[in-house]
Amino acid sequence: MSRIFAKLEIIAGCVLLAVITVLVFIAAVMRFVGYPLIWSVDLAQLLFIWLCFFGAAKAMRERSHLGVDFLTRLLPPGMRLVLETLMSLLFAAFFLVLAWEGYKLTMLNKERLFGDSGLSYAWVTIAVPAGCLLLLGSMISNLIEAWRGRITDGRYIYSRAMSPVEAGEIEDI
Amino acid sequence: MLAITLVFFVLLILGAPVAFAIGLAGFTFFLTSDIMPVSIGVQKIATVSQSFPLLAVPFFVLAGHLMNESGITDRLFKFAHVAVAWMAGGLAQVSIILSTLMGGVSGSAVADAAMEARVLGPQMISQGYSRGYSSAVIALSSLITSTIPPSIGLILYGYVGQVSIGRLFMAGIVPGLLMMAFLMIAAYVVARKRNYVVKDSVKPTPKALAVAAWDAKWALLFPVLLIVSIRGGLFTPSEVGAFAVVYAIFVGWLAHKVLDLAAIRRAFNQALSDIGLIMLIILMSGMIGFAIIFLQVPQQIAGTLLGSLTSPDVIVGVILISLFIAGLFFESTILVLLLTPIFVPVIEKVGFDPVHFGILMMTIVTLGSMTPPVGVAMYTVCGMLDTPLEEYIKESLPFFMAIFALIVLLLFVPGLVLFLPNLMFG
Repeated sequence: MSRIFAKLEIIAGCVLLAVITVLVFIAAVMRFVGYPLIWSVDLAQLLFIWLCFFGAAKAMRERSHLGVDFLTRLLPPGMRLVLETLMSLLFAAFFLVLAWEGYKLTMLNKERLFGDSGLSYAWVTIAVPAGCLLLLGSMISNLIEAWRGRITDGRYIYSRAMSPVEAGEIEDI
Repeated sequence: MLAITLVFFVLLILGAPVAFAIGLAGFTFFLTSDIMPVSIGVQKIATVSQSFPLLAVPFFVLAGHLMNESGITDRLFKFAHVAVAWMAGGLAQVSIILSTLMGGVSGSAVADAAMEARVLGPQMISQGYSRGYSSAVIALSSLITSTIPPSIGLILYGYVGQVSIGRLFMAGIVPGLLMMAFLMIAAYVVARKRNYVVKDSVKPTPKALAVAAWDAKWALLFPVLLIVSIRGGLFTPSEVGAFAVVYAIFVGWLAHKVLDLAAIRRAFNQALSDIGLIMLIILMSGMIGFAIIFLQVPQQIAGTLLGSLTSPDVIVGVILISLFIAGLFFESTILVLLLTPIFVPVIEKVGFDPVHFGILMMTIVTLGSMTPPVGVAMYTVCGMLDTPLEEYIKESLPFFMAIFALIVLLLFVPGLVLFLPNLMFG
């Protein structure tokens, strides 16, 4: 279930990345030949924040968000898992508050339009709560994995004993 | 401001991902403020994503991964090998040249260091180069990518400090080439003493060199196209980023015929993770960035500095030294995001050019990635090549000296940095 969801996340992120690239590329070419397309860049800009959050959720699943681990590295694995669990509770609260406030904010200014495109700015602000929930989802799924005793290969909740580069691992769709 | 700083450092020391430490620290401001509602914090996160210049980040990250899959990296490597492997410390020279060429196609020092440690590291060690020397050359030469365009760090600096990214790109070219020359000299001097040469290697004939260059023509052409299209504001850096992606796909698919659908998928996949982790830090810094401005931190720091120090040179010197110290402990992205809004107004006030400062700042904070105690590039390379840290530190000294000499030169001869942007943008 969580695996299917992770795959959907990756596909959505990759599609967004491709679409944004094409939109900006076409806009640049059209502007160069004298037919500027305003909506194209606007739409790319609107989708950008969604790309960021889908990517962030994927990076969370891979436990590759950068952190300073020179102290936690010294802890025994069990202690480190407990510490990360406590920290995860704090982050979960943070995501939930951001999500709730973001939802309220979106509802407040639904009317605001985005550039000249006629799209609602709500599509941008709603990405924050949606993104926080995505991050929360990946974090919970990591938490369950870690507590199920998978920490033997150096993976905790949001960090790992070995960097992906060192492990020489490439994640594929 | 005290609470914000405290939250940030405590979370960081406890090993929290930087993005969350920055986010929660910024959020503390909105929680404790009587005037600012929490929803404004959310608003600030969303606002960050509405900057067109920032779109250059995903494009150049994706282009970098695509160029790896397109055989561009391989061909640049072969070209560098033919060109300089015959010199004293040949493979070290290859590493330095390759970093310079890679600087022109991808924008990340750590990615460059990891790639070279994989490709060149084992070769260097089997040729009898010491592990420390090999690791030091590979790690420090990746610093060249931080100033040669397209540099992700310069994009961020330009975005946060409201400095023209096109100008910054142009300004980074000469310092990047000088850094290449300085590092090559350092590598040569050490290699000469120890007699590090590639066995039975000869100076290439002009013909052999031309053949290798022709093989790598699409790769070598890219930085030239990049500069031509940004020159004078013809295209914005973000648009050029989108071109770079399309260019890499076409070169890999039609010219080099190595890029298939699986390779494209791999590149997108890796780019998505990189974009996610870089951009989450940037989005989350939207709150703390607002707090810094709202609490007038730049004015206070400027006041303190301008009040206690009178000479502009000393002020810039103090700022650069504090950047170096901060760089020892923090990742360059964070420093650029947090310190640019504080320092740029100060140096502008004393009449220092923000483009000139940007190049110095990028070089100095990225250098921290190659030094203990916290250096991502250093740990990556030493980890991959099994190099003890003490050996790395000892062997990297000549290279550090070369870099310091360059920084001093760039500081006192602004023309080296500013000549190109002034020529191209007027």
